[in-house]
Amino acid sequence: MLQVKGLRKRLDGFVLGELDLKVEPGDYFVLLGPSGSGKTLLLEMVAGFQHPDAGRITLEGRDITAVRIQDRQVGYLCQGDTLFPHLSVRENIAYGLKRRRTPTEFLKDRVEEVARNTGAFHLLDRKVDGLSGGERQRVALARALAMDPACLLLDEPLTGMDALLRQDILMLLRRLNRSGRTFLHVTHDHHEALAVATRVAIMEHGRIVQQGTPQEVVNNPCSLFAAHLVGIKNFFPLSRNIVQGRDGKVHVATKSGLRLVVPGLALPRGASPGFLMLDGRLLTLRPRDVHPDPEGDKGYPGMVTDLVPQGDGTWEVTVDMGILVVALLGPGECHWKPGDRVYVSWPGKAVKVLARKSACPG
Amino acid sequence: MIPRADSISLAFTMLGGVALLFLVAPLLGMVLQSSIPEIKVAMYDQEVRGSIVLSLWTAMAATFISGIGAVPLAWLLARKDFPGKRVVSAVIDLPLMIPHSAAGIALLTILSRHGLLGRLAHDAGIRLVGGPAGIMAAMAFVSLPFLINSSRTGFEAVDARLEKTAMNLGASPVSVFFTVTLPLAWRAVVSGIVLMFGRGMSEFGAVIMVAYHPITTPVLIYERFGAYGLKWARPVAVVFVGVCLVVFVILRVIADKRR
Repeated sequence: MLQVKGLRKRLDGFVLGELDLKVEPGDYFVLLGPSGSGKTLLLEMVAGFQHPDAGRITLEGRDITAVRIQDRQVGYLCQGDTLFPHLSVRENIAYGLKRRRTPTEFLKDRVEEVARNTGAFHLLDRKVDGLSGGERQRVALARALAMDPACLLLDEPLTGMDALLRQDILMLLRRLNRSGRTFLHVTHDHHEALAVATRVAIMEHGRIVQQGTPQEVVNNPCSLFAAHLVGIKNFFPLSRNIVQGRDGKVHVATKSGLRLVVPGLALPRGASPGFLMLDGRLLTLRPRDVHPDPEGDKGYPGMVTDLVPQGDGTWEVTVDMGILVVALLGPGECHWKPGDRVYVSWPGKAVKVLARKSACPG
Repeated sequence: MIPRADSISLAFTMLGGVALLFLVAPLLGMVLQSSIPEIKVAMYDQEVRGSIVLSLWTAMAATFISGIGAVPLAWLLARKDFPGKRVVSAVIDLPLMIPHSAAGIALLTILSRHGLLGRLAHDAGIRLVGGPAGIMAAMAFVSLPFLINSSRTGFEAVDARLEKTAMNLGASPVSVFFTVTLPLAWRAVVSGIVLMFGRGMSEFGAVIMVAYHPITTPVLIYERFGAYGLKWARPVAVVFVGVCLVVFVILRVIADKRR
């Protein structure tokens, strides 16, 4: 188990921490944060390239905070291309084993074994120069895995790859994780994070603001920042007052002042509402000018501001109704153009009000 | 239809041509004005041969001996931050800026028998001033910046992430230097060696201050020019330029093969 406790570091005006983290054996732990949130600095401290000002890093019960880089038993894939260009693929994978003075007969077997596991076997006798981005990453993974690290640190491993290659490498990472490998992976991309993670932590300004399983984080983001980072579109901070209307329905107000009816809202007594989450797949848009019953439950008036095709026939339609909501419309359901005036409505099950957590900033 | 060259290419070709002509014309003039019998006489002259051999081996020895310290210094400058780094960089470039005769005088203050190094060498039975060791010191003093600066550029160009990766894979810092950094910066280090060797071999100002004899070829050319005039100095210069050319072509070919 990799455990980080009370870690703190000040570097060129940036402050990381205080930071606590636990990566259990077999975990695929993803640190999700924007550029400059301190993800790489944390990995560099775990790998030993930076020394913390305070705190401890332990790996399998051993305190490695002050251990030499070479003796830490963590693999580290820096961001970008890190293959040694003057060595062949085989020599690259064997590099660490040779430094360990591994006997020649074992070295050959080990190189071929990890190359097979990472899909790089057919590349062994190639030069590094001619490899594609995906092939390079496979070789880099094989080279790190050859050392049999207790935990493998990955810094934005899919940067610069096209969609197809990303899928390919993500599949490989998932497979390696299922075979028992432990990963600590940092990225700014929620697609990447949610595709592989068994646990996710959200980093903001050098601190971890939320962690849990991907489902926990996606279903219950603790701040606007966390929600945006995991790709949630319709997430709005609420003012603290909940109003029970004369009609018996519960009304909440967004911080921008829009009052919304929330059917079936049940917050624990004393909890203050923090955020409103709308499921974009369940939103309905209707034209305003042809609505048959002006007195009926017509929804909220708004105007279409943007339409984005999603590639699979679905559309992402942004509507300004005082707040910007994003509706996901199925193939053939999008008859709108920017400027169209619409009513937006949703069923009760599309709405979720999250309680504000005192521990979570934002 | 012949494509028309764009105006900037045309202007730069003309300006570049003038610069190139300025470099080639004197050398070409010198070669064309020397007759083959004159050059032959110079080639078979024992004093000329001796001076060329001396210039070559002292320059080579100066390059390799000082390289032992220069290459690590270049690595330090490329990879480490330390107080006074800018001052150190400026000091390294100093020999490029001061007159080489002044460099010779400066060297004499430590290499002569009254200087610190000269006294130590004298006690050890080594003659610095007026000996090959002094020539090497003079050559190294004026040409070291070429090796240090070129190597430094080469080390800076090596991606630090590769070094980090090597350390993460269990390599010690020394092992990282010899298995990753140096193999990747090799081209720049060799370029520096070639430049330093060439600059050292042709050094005149500092060498003549430290050692008139044994005589190196640049000093011999000067001596013949002063004593007998252009007609006697020119063939020696032609032979020396020819030797320099051959040596550099060989060094470049060797360096290219290593890439």
